Amino acid sequence: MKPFAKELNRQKWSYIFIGPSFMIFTLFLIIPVFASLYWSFTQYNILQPPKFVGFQNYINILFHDPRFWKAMTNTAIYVAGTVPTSIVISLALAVAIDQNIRFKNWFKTFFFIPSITSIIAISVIWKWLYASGKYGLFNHALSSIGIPPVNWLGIDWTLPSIIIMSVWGGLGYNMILFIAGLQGIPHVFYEAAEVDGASEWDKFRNITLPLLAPTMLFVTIMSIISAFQVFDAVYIMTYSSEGAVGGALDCALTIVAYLYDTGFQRFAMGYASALAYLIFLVLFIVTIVNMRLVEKKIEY
Amino acid sequence: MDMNGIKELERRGAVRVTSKKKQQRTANLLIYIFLIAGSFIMIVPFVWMIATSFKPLDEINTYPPSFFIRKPTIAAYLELFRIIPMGRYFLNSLFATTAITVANIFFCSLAGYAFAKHRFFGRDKLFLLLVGSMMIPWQVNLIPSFVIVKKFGWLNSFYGLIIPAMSGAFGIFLMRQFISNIPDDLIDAAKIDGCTEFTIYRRVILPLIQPALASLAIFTFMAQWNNFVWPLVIIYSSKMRTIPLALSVLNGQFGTNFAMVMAGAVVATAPVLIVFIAFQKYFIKGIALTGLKA
Amino acid sequence: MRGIKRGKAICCLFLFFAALALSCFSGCVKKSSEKEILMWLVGSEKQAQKITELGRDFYKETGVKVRCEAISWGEAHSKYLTSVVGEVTPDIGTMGLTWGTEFGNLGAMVDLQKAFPADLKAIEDDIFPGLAASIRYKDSVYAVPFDISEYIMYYRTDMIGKPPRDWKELASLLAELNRNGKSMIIDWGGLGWIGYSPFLWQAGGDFYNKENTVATLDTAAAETGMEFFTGLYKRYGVPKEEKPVEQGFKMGDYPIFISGNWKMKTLADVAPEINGKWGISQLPAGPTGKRTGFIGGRVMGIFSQSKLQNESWGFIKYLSRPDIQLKLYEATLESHDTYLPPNIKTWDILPMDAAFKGPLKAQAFDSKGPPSLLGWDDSTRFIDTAIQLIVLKGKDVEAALTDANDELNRRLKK
Repeated sequence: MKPFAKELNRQKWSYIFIGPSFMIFTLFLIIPVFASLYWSFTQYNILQPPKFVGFQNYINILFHDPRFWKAMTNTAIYVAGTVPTSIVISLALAVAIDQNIRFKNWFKTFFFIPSITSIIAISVIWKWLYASGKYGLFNHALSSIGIPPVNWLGIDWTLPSIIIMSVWGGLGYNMILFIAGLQGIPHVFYEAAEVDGASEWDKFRNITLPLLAPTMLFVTIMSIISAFQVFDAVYIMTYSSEGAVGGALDCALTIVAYLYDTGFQRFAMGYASALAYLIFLVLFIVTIVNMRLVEKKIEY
Repeated sequence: MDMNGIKELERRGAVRVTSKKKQQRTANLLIYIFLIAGSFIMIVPFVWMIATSFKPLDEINTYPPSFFIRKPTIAAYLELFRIIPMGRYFLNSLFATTAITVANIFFCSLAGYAFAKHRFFGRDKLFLLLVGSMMIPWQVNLIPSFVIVKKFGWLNSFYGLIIPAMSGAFGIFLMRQFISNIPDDLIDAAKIDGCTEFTIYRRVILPLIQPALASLAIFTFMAQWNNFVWPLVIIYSSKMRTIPLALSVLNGQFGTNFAMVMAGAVVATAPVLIVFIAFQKYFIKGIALTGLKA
Repeated sequence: MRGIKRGKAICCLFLFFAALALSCFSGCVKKSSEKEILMWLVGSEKQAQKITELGRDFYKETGVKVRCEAISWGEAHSKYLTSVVGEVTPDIGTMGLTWGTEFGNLGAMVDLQKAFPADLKAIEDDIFPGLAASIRYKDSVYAVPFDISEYIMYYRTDMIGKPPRDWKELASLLAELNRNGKSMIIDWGGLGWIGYSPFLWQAGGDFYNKENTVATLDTAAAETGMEFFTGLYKRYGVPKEEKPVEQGFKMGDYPIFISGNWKMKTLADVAPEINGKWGISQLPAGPTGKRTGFIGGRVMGIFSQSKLQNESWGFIKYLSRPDIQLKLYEATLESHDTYLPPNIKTWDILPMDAAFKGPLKAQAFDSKGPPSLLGWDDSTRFIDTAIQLIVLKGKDVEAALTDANDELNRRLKK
């Protein structure tokens, strides 16, 4: 057999394995992605045919749109506020639950519960926790220890308040992934380390963390991507009766909330698509840097 | 070495053992406190959701939200099942979600294995494309996907609900990350034994990634069960509605029977909770089957 | 072994569901030759069911069936949008007041003025004048009112003897309340253009000139209105953030608030303890003596893709009839929905307590809707920003209004 044919035969299985996934992908992700890429160069209100405008949308966004920069700043603050906190706490949870303790399954269920609680119930409770003056529980607690009430949903605090709520809601999700990762680490490594007299911390640093690297990379990348695209949390905490989202003076307007507002409320799909590609560009760079960093560490 | 020296050594050893046990116990205590306090914070809205669903009308909407029910009632549930055909919607949701979850477990692990352990032409570029596609906010893909589904004639059908969701970038990425942790030796050994690629996948890979498969199943089921926007745009007859669609209209324009909304939320949450508890045990199973112990 | 067993179990499950699905598909196929209008209602399932029920009477009169399905408010906009793209629109759609013009201008809705001029005039003559002005864009009307929602003032009769009748009385009442640590809440559209609009109109101003060609927020009247409105927040302790209105009202911390008419229903449900201890009143009059409020509501129109346009119009006319609107109103009394009829004639036969009916009707007559022009939805945020800058950042009223005015004019030119 010729080497090429042989090679193709060897690769046959690979293509069969990825085949079904890629068929679905091409249809429902890649084609739509290129359609919206085209739209980002047009003026398009969805109901009438798009009009080609070149780079006009991008130029307008980058140079004439203060709301975009406001949204970008807010999003950056949100990502920086949620991702590291959430990863550290959920890893701690996963390690704690992975110890030799009782009621493991109960704890797992409890921490996962925010992910499945109705978003309406969550928003009612958090709005009550955050309510201003004497109505909110947080302020009630603060005043009982002599701290003046915080205006949680005022313009200075809305974004931090949303960050706190998001970290709370996302812990269970990351915890599940970390537990799965921890389960995949063979016990022999720990046993070997114990023979060498390693402390708990040594074991965590030298065995758990390096072997958890693929999970960590996954969780980090997914957390950044989903934090960057945060929408629901912003929506439930800031929507107003007039359909605006983002809070007073755009104090909690994030980039996807802005995209939703332009695309679906104002029908500016071309502009919204251009926004989407700018989001993509930022995320792509962040992810590549992330992968490189982790790969370097894995390769030692 | 004299006797004193030996005794001294023994004493130290004993001290070390007991102090280690003590340390362990305090550590465990701390862990319990940490977990119990955390759990409490996590379940507050959930408890409130359930409590509210059993409240009579004049007890809901109190402020601050109250967890106590003076006169519990199941009126909200009766009302819920009376005004919407919940049974039918439940089956719609269950069918679509189960089909999607099973398909995802299969297709994603298959593709994830290929990406992690095979070397083939264009692998890294395809993978980058895959990861990259997650970075485009889904909102802008909504309209083109919708148009494609319409071209296939799948609007308002299970095909439209299920097929586009049968595999996902998230799942493939997740699987690849976990499978890349499996030592190549295991696969090579299976190859030497004359296993075909598919047998390797079934006999070697699948048992080893059970914790990850359980995670994927939970996430997929949860996401699809709660999926709202996609069914919203492609389903337009009331017969084909899924649970989230049915619940969204319980919320009236202004005044709302909150007990009923919460009753709906409880009914909607139950399956996810069951799936979570059911798949949880596979988190532990995985390690027992690793085959690495020997 | 176990793996195989599980595999079998999954296969069985799959087959079961497949069979189920097939039975579902076959269930959907049957179609009758009778005409059936599909209507989407933005609102609750219950209200939709009531309309389907009313449709049975309509069927007896006309031989045309009606099916009404509820869609939720939050997603209605994108739902309509995709239904137009996918060519699966309903025949009749109910929507927010300004959407009719918006979708109509994109060609998605039937221009009722062109299609049914005589009937339309009859409907327009019977609805509250503020609404009639808001649905007409240039020479087109794409939708007519389904119901109304209007601004109204709520007050505790046991704590405030008489409701304030003008700005002066409001200011002195608030000053007095402030002394006891109490204040007022502006609930619907607070710190936004909806909250500002009554004060703007009461001061004799408006957002644009009569022809909607020039923005008029740089006028003295606009400034007077803004000065007073933002002063309520800055000087009289009206909360700048969302407050639990019902609770504040019940506890007496906020014995007066301005909101939409639906709060009447909510208060009755949520705060039965204070039943009979509160009343409603028209908004206080401004320097011009006018007590103008804001009016909105749902509108209904016909989609261009509909094959039953005449029949649909027949049903819209049906829903505009006083006797039918009365039935809708009565139905909502039992549920938690709110429905106020847009037809003035319905109000004559409405079985409502006079203490509520009087102020509601009077306020509806003296109300205005949002200005009817394309791009209004895109302009409102500049007014919101102006208000928020004044209240939250202490910006000068005149400067903030001038900036907003420039933005509004810029959008008119587009």
